[in-house]
Amino acid sequence: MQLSARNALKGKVVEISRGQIVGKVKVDVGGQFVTSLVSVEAIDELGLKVGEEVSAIIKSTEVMLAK
Amino acid sequence: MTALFTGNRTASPPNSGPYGNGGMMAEGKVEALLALKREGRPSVGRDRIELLEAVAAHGSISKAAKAVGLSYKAAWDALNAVNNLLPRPAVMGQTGGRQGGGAQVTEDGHALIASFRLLEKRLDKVARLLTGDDLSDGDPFALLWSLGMKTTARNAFRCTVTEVRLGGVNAEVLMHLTPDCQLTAIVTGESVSELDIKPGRDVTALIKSSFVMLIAGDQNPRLSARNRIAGIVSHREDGPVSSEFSLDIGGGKSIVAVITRDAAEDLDLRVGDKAMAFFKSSHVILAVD
Repeated sequence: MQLSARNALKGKVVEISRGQIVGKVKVDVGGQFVTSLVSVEAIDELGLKVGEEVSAIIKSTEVMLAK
Repeated sequence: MTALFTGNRTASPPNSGPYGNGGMMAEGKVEALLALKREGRPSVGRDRIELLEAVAAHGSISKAAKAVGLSYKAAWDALNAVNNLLPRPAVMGQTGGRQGGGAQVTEDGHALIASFRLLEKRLDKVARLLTGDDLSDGDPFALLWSLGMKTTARNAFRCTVTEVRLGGVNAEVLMHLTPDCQLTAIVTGESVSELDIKPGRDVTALIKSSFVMLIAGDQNPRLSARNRIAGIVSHREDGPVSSEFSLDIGGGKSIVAVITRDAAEDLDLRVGDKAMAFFKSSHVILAVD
């Protein structure tokens, strides 16, 4: 799948917290973690489960830098 | 149909300026500008009406743009924005919308122009009465001056809300852009109640073009993003770092995506190609009248 977003970090789901509208999904991308907030509908549709392999997709414009 | 009286104070001498006559005063000119609102939908201002008139007169976007002093791109963007904001398109491309291609104002578009001009004529008479010549006690109309808001968001879609789901802090708003295209916005529950967003209400969904991602072809990948719209690339503009794409998404509507130049090269998307636009619900801002 070729998506325009430049950053696709492969990792494993280590935690899922569900709210009523959004859920928090924490992904281990090789020693570091990426936390994603997505709609619970998406979590259900993708059938996300702890331990599963996913890609965390981040558009370049979304990346802040800190020095 | 309601007419909004908006005004601008300009420092130009009386009887000059692009908008003709209005009330007169000693220091500057008070102009009456009509912003047309129809049943609660966003306003269509005079500059857009003039552009529509130019398209009708010249039969193409490029000639119309020249006639009103806009670049082709600016005119094209303005017409797409108008189409996105109206229930039915005001202008349609005749030959696929390529640079300089023919364009036609629809029946709806003509009706819009006619009503606008008629109201403007009548309003001009009222303006003369209201503003008068004697403003020696300050400007009593200061508060009336234009409240119209333009935004930098390239995507402003008129939608109808179909469902609202409330969570703790968040709320999910589902809406129809077209009968086949549903959009989802995640906003705070507080804004939903403040703006009285409920099924049946018309809202404008605002999405920055930098939030929109693209995929080539008509694949439907397993992504968490709730909003996906299929379309055909109608415009591509490359900068050194970014590339801007416009997609024709049907029903006279279009979406703009800004991605990296690298991505544009990798996807190799060109005008005429099928593509899918994606954006997260959390990237949608809702506006109401």
